[in-house]
Amino acid sequence: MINFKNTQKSFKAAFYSLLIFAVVFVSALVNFISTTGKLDGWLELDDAIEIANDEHKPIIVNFYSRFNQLSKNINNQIFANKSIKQFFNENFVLAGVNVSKKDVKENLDSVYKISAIPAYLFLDNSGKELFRFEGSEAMNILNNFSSKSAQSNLLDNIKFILSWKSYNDAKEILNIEQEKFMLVAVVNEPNNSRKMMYIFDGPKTKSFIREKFIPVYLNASNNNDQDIIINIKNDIIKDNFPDNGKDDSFKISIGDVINDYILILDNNMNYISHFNPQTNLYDDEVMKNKMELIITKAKKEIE
Amino acid sequence: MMKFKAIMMMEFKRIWTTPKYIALVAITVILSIVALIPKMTGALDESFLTFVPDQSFIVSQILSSIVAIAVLFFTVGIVANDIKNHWFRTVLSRAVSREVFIISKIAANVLSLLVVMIAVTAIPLIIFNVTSPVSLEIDFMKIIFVYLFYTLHGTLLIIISTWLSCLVPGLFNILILAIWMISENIINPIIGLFLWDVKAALIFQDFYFPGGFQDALQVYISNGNFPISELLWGFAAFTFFLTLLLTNINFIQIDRTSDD
Repeated sequence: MINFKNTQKSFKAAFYSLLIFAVVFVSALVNFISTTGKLDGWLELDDAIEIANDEHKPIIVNFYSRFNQLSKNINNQIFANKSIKQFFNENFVLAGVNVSKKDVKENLDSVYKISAIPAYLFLDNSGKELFRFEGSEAMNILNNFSSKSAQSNLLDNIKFILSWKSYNDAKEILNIEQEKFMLVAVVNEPNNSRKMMYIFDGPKTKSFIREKFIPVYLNASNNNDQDIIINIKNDIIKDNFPDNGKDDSFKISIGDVINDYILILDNNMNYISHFNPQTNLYDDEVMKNKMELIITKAKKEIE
Repeated sequence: MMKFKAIMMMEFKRIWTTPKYIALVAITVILSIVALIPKMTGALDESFLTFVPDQSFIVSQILSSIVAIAVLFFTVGIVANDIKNHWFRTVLSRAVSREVFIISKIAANVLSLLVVMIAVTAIPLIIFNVTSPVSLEIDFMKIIFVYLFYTLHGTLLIIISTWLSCLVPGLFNILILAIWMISENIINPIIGLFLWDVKAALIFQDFYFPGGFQDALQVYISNGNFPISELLWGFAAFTFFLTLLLTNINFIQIDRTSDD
């Protein structure tokens, strides 16, 4: 009988394979260390705000980690796409924040309120957050911006929201334009902010808001907005719904109104109505009709 | 070289049993019928052109699951079963080294995988394009790269499965591989949601399952850039598991059943 225990054995191929592995692994490691530490063309956040102020452009802040696969995929695939890269470079000031850095990490929750990586925050030129895409959904949403129609739609929506007034300015304007109403879009869950964008997306809705409302956008991720949201809750909402909203947080819980809501007020800052950014309102016609109905009803009651 | 070729062809014939032929033909026919649906329903016209994704993307989506399933099918007990049924003993009783034999076996499996990849994607794709009422653009270069990267990924999976079969009996190698692959899809969202700011968790996620070739393909399909970094990680995993396999193959006791 043949003894197979010691025959036909050879470690030559294993040795060569190990050598190749060592070379490839070291090359991969060197490549990783030298290329993924920073993002090409993305500025520090403070510099970005300064430039955005000068150029009157909105800002995109990319909160990324060199160790996060999704971050790497988005940076290597989406922002390396020529069409997307050109679109974002031309229309925004791009800032990158590496969350792996210790000082940044400590501020993530208290300042930026980031709950997943990667996070893409769209800010106005003063640094106030408009909306964000976080986590796994960011890849799909950002990938859509390779199409020209999606690009122009995004710019339209940002321009529209940027044209909205601050809460105090809106109050003053309402004193003059008394036939108008105040529309306050409140975002308490930053990661849901895109829903607000979707419901104000349609051309009919946009034109109706311009005609009938002084719109205000409040996002709880901004400290100033948080104070206003708490004041609205205490001064306006509690009066109308005394049994609810008892906790001291800036969030409210009234009927179906949880966290994010659209509040309609008259020119004396009296409560008229509220509703949630539900998915059925993504339809332009439905959204416009809903607001029209609220206003018609309110006018009848005033008469 | 002659030995390598002869063993490879012999192994290729051993892989392709009648049930496997029938399964392959059935899957190809089903996918070809699916490819005919736009023609049969008249759903595809000029207005729908904008909704038709890049064909290389469709091929890569089909291959992402087909490659994993085919590897699991082809490599059930690839080493363990051959030791049990004395096939290893029979081949190695000739002047064939263990490394030549195992590499020939892997090559035969890679060849089989290529046959499956081409049958289930190329044939339906040709039918789809020939019968389509509107002319569709095809980027041949991208499609060739899809096949190339998935062949590399499939080869890596075959090597891992073969190495596992050196360590565990019967079909446990594909059970471990399947659990490993599935658990990656469970671990990724967990780390993404709860541990995204823990560096160690992210490094663990990166190295949990070797996906360098798949990542390389994604980079290439999405922007056409050559994915050097991803390919390097892919080849690092490839050579790492190949080293383990070529080492372990020397330690298995191939005549243990006859000794018992």
